[in-house]
Amino acid sequence: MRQGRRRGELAVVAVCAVLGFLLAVQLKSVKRNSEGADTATTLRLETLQELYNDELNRSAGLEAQLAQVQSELDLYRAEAAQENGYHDALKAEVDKLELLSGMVDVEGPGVTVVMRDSTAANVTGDEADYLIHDSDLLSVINELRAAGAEAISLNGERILGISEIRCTGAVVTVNGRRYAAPYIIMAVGDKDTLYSALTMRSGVVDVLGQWKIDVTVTMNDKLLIPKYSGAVEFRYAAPALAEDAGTEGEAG
Amino acid sequence: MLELIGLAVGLLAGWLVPVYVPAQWSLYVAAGLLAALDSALGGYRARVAGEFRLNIFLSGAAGNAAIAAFLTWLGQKLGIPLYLAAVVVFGTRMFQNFAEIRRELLTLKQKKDKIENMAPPTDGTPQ
Repeated sequence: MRQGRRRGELAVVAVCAVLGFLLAVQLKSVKRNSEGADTATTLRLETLQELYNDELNRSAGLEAQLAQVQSELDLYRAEAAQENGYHDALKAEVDKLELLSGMVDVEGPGVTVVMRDSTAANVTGDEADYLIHDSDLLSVINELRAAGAEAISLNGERILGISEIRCTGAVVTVNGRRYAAPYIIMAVGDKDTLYSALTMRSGVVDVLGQWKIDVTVTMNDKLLIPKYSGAVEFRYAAPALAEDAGTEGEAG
Repeated sequence: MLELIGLAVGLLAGWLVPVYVPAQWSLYVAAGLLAALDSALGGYRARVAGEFRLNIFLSGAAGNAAIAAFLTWLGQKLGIPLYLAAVVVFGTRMFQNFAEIRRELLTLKQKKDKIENMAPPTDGTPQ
């Protein structure tokens, strides 16, 4: 009987020890988890964090791959340039095409346009009237192109012939990346022409100014416009061959 | 007294061991925790009342924890917080056990006093 009592006591003590252990671990974990929010949110946060990390890793891997491929390309070009004059001509052609396609950093004189959302009191009741839209950015960029801009970037993202500028909620997507206000547009070209084109009466700055959207245009003697950081891949378009040229007129 | 020492040892071990409960297991541990708390109090009450039986105690401790965990799991599958059943039952029993322990201890003391002083009872049965 004495033995039984002893064992019973031990059992209760063991359960007490388990209780204490669980209590301490749980308190610790709850304290750590609740630094962010409640359990459900923490769970979601953990999942999202995991997904984000995966994407980041993938993106880093792809960028490294791109850099490697581009360095290989440079190597081939350097080799080709060494050979003879024919290759020199080809290289000059490649350089020109790179400039045209936005695959190389560009510098030169031009203008910088900074656009900020309107600070005016909301009298129409529609908040959207006072924000910068993709169409506003497009009209500025279109005006710059009309005035002979040779290279344009939006918030550091090079605008290519195939670039999109599109509203995605409160931000704007350019080349698949999202950018928020303030928008800084840089354009290389004849700075006086560019400046006048934007600031002329009833011009794009004038119109946006009526909504109190803050647009400042400044002339710069030297602007650096970065190259497009991604890679362009044509999956459908291919150069037309000579025998296909006949159908061009019909399609047009 | 030994129970308190066991509790302290458990707390210390849990605090020092670098183990963390992932957020998705948090509910299960909480349910298990309640089951353990219920078992500990129940066991202590049974020992004070002198009706402690080891096999009943152990099967109750393990079984209650298992049912609590199962209810939590089922609740998550069904989308109803079924673990609340465990919370309510264990919570209620905790109060009952505590009340019984309290009465048992107080009665014990009064009985002892009575035997020692041979004093006549001043009122009815002690509450």
